[in-house]
Amino acid sequence: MIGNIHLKQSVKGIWKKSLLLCAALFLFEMLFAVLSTSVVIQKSILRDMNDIPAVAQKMMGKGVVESMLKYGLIAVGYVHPFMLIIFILFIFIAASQMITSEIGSGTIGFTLSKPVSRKRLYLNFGIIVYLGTALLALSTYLSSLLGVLLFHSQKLPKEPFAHLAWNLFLLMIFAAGYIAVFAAVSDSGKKLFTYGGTTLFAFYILTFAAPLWKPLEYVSPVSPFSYYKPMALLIGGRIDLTTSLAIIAVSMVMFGIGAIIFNRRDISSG
Amino acid sequence: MEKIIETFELTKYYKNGIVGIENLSLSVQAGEIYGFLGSNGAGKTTTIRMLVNLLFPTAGKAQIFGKDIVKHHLDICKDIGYIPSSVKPHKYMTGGDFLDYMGKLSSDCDSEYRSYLLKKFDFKRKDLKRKIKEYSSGMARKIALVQTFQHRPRLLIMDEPTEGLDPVMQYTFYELLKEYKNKGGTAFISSHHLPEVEQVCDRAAIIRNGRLVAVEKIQDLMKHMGRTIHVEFKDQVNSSRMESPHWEIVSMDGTTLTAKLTGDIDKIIKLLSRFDIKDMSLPNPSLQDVFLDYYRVEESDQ
Repeated sequence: MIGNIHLKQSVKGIWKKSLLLCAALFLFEMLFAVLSTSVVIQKSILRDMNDIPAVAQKMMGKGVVESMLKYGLIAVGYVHPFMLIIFILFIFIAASQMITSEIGSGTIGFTLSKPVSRKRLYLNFGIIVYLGTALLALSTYLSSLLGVLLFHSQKLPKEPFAHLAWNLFLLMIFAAGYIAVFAAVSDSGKKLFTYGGTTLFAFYILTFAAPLWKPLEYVSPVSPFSYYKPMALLIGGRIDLTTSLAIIAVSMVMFGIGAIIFNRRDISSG
Repeated sequence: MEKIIETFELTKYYKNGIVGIENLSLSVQAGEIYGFLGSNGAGKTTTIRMLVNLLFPTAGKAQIFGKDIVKHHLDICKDIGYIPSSVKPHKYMTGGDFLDYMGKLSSDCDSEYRSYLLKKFDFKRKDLKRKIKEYSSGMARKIALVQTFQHRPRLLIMDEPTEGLDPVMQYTFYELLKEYKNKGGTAFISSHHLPEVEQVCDRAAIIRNGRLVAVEKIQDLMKHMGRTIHVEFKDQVNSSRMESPHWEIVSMDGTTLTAKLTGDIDKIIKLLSRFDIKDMSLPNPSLQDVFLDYYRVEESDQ
């Protein structure tokens, strides 16, 4: 019951920022849907460049050219870093507001002097990240769907957008698992952003570099971005259930590790 | 009498090798206001953070209400009011929201008593609608104090509670503390502000370099401290004529003398009556004198 009061308060503290990020994502994807109706010339360029972007194809995964030929700029919207940044920003905001900034500012002393367990605090953090990420993914899905319905007279298949949203959700809960571990050991939002941000950026680079250099392929499964395949999904690819369940399990285990660390650590503030 | 707080050789070493506290054993009885004194870095905040489970002991253990502070933290928390040394309540909340939130977390909040506390601390309705980040440090301290008292906890754990409060609000706080004690409450208060401890505490502990050096009733602590006598003579006095086993001369400078009483005051008065005296004072020792005396011992030990 008391844990729920903390959860409710956390939602109260973060909902405005979450909605703002959802709106930003919605508009961003919509913009690509609108632009793709007018930027026709790009398709001809892509056809001509079919052989040239082999490196790019390798880096971005299968189906980069086909998906762009089929969906135009809508496909670009799904690999644009802005979208990934919005998602990751949300996770950082949640982690910072609920865990690290509370430690950094000393407010955690007030919270933990009440009958709220540290584990419950972490569980609430997990609940908010999962729900918020799902909301952001839903926003992306609805935006693309609406964009295609409103601005594209040609019949584009809508089903891949649902798969894309699911893929985005999986990518982000995996990334959130890493951030949960960093949040458990960090004393301030600044440290969390520095170490967590650097790690995720390194994973991002690793994912692109892995197809170009064999040894990196062995370590690339640790990167959440390795499981993000928007281009393949747009041309009919699917994420199998086993992969989905495995990612969810790994994310939950990482949140669990974060909770255990947080439960046993000293908090030298508050 | 019931022991509300009891620590057994409580020890905390930080990872960088710094000693937080070492073998700290103390007990706080029910209905007692217990002062916890020490200089900066002596280990006061470390002890308090361990009592509220923010830090974990390296060795030893502590009990509150007879329950282990680590194992039964959640049970203990229901009956505790805590205020940290550096007060930074949730800044994105309004004062009213903060009190509501903390009250709900305490599950048993008396709204009438809260109104009384708010009135005592001179809060207006509009103040409660403002975000805490707009508050001055004194206001933030006051709202934190209200949340500490509002659920009528059995035990108050307070780290420098009056830091940043103006004298009027300090007085209000002392009054509240006395009311709280009269209703059977127990408080553990760390402070730098020695007159405050002298005024409100029943007993005090002095901690130095993480170790407990004294625990006594305030009056008994002050008895340990010899009273100091200051005398100003009309004429020059030879120091050899001032010698007595009943005092210890600290300084003798022509016409002025400062000495620490160690024996019978009657003998000293008789000794002084042989001289023409311009002025004389024999103030009661303050807790500050006692405190400084303990710390002087430390310096001489080193």
